[in-house]
Amino acid sequence: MEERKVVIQAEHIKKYFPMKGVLGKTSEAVHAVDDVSLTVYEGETVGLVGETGCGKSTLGRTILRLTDPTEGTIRLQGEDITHYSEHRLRKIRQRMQIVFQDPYSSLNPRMTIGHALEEVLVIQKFKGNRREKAEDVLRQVGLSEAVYHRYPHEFSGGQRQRVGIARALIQDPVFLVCDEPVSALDVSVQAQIVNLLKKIQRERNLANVFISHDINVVRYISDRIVVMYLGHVMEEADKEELMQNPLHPYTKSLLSAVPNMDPRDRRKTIPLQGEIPSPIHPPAGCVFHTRCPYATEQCRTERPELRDCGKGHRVRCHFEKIG
Amino acid sequence: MAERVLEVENLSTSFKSKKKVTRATDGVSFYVERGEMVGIVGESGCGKSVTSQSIMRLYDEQDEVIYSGSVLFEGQNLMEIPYKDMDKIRGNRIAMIFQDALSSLNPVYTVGNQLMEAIRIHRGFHRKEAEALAVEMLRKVGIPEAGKRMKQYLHELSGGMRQRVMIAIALSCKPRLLIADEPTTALDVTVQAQIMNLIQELKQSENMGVILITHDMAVVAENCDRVMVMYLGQMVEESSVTEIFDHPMHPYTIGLIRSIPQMSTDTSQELYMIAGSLPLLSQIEGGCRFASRCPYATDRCRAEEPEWTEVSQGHRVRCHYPVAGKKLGE
Amino acid sequence: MLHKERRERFLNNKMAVIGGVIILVIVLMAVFAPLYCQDPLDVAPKIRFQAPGRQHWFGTDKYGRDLFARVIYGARVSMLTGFTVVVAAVLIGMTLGLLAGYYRKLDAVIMRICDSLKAIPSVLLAIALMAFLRAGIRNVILTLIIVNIPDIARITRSQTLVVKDQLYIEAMKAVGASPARVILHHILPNVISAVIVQVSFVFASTIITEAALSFLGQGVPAPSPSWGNILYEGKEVMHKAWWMIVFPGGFTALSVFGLNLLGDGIRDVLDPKAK
Repeated sequence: MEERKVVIQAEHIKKYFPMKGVLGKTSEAVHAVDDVSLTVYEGETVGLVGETGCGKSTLGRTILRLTDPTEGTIRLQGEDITHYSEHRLRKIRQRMQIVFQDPYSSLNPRMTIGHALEEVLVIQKFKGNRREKAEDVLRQVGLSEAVYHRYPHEFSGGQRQRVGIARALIQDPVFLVCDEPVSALDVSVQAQIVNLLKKIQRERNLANVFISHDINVVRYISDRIVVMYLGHVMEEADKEELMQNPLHPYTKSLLSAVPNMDPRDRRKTIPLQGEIPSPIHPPAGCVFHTRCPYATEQCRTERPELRDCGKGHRVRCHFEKIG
Repeated sequence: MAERVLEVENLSTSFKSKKKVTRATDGVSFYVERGEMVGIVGESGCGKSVTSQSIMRLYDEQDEVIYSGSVLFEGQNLMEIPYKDMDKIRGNRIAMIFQDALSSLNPVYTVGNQLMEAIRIHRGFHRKEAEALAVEMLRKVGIPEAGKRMKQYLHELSGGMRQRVMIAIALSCKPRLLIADEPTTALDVTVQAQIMNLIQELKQSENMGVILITHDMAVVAENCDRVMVMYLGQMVEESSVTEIFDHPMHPYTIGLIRSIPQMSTDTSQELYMIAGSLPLLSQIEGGCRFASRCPYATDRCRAEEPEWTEVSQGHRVRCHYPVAGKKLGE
Repeated sequence: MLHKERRERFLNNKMAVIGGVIILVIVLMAVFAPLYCQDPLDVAPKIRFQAPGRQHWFGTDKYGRDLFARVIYGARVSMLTGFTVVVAAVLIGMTLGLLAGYYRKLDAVIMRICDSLKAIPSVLLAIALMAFLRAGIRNVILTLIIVNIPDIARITRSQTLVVKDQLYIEAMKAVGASPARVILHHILPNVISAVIVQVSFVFASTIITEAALSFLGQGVPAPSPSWGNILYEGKEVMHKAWWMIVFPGGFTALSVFGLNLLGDGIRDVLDPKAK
């Protein structure tokens, strides 16, 4: 097999947000991302899935250096960008791009679509014909050139999201983060955007991180899935392996919580009791032990390592087989 | 046949502004039986929330609103009774819960205060009795340490807990009908499962009718007994939940079901798509409202508005060419 | 498209149009004053305190000067002061507001200074500043600029804080835009309408403060006419020469009224949600 090129390599990323108390900073912090490593190859889509507060979006932003990591290293195509200054970052930004969740606030309301796209090219000191390039990328995301002189408020959420994608693509990035790109859209247009993103990822052979709370969407679009909980990676595997053979109790409950489109096959039991603990005081031991039906004394005191089970399937659990 | 709690007949709601009259919903008819959960499914602007808020007559105060049709609730036409009499029904015999507990409850009062206030207004209890019932209600909706929670404020609770508090308040007056407007949309899947389970249990134990308003067909499949699908202010399909997933007839319903990826979806195929985006109501010029996005639309669809017709027992659809027997995945 | 829509919305707003017309008329009258007015400084002791009549529409003052000419020339002072103050205060205030909103470290410094300026009522502050400087129109303008900067800076800053958190700003950073570009191209256009709304209110308050300063003898020195110092002179003779109070007072009130109507109208057009 041909050696695959690593595009993004993030190692032992930690991101803590210090809490502000009445008297300035306190020693407490939100543990948003805690020791996560992630490698994304060229032409590969990695799905980050998890519930609110699991740190998936923060991880995405940290890898893009939109926020500084507390610890860890980030390499873009082998180049260590962890400590790049803002000034140096600006020069490599075009290689890594992001598509945001909310297409309503991610476009400047006072700029026409064309102006917004050309603005990106101006910033990146693009030499060629800006108009041509912008129209070309608009076509790629399924919009006609007629939108060029129109303002964002004239468009629906789905069309705006296409513009958001165009803005990311116009710089020809090698790495793309999609942060919940369809969850703010109407159901009937979500599929359009998912299909578009998948098509573009293939055509451009992009390294892609796809962040979503919807495991079905993630399964559909990704090659590999990473399940996060309270800032930690709980499980990571190729998508079919993860869906068919989930090893971590959290992954299992996440999968069984997803409502099924078959009214004859209704869920009989509630998959998971309780709620996600506070990321300010994450539980000792395994962070999932407060909700895990199989938790033992060992789980309460000792944090499990991310263990390799072969074929790139890794799981953070003390037990081989459970449930 | 079980007793019908609610019967809506040909309900239309229009809003008058300076220049024009906008018809937000058009000829909505359905019923809810005791102990039954009916889903209203649709996207933003389809009129699902307008329908439920019209039943409660929540628009009377703020807007120039015109209703037509009737809403029979326990034999009484809610469209005809004096507005002030609605106070006795709203929040009492018909209760409502929303997507966002934080903005629909008052942040400056404790959980206990709000719950007790609801109980005292609607049931005329004294303080002591109200307090006892409030604690009991919190237990009933699965809130641990109910006594302690009584003294807390909403912002101190998690999203799931807030939703439970809102349900406790809604149910404290033993309503006959519960309208749940996107109750789990803002919640994570594991918590969503808990809350839907709770609503199911309470529906059984209180023997009340439930209207579940949602955009998520999977939530419907998991929870409802009957479904109606709405598009741009009109009902486009109505049937039992098994029937609608077995034999969806309206192209929009088919699209809604098939465009959401499932565990069984073949990831090497393109996802089924509904073309285009939601038009504005003002852009529709006669004909079927879905025609501009429908893959099967003909000239007849663009010219002539389809009737609301029953195609089989309890299965109604608004389409000239109901795709009869079209199975999923075909 | 956007502009056409706005123009229509403005023209539909009757009160705003009335306000606009009032201000326009006053401005035109002030600008073309030399063409049709008598000399406001022309003393004629024989006709002191003449009531309004055909010769002197607004009557005369204690030196027999034509009051109409003095009021119109006073409008020149008011409009000039208002205009200069608005332009300068907006330029400086917006710059400070943008910087304070964007850079957290500057925020503490800039806003503390603005807060301490705001802690003193603006008329008192103006009087205090004028006491340091010599009376005269240039110093009045300087003072009023200083007095108005904090308000503009504060509005700009709060809008900047809102806009700064919008995703499209983060998107521009992700694209690699420099802070200067983000501020000038992406934040500024989105905060400017809130400031424009404020402009006519600042203009109005400038007119009042200028009149107050002149009235208190701290503003435009005699014999140059200004609404404030005409009122000051009229105060002592109010019982026998009512016109000395009514006309300058009426013009002050009318222009402030017009500016406020205009400001409300502009706000409705630019920001229909904020009512």
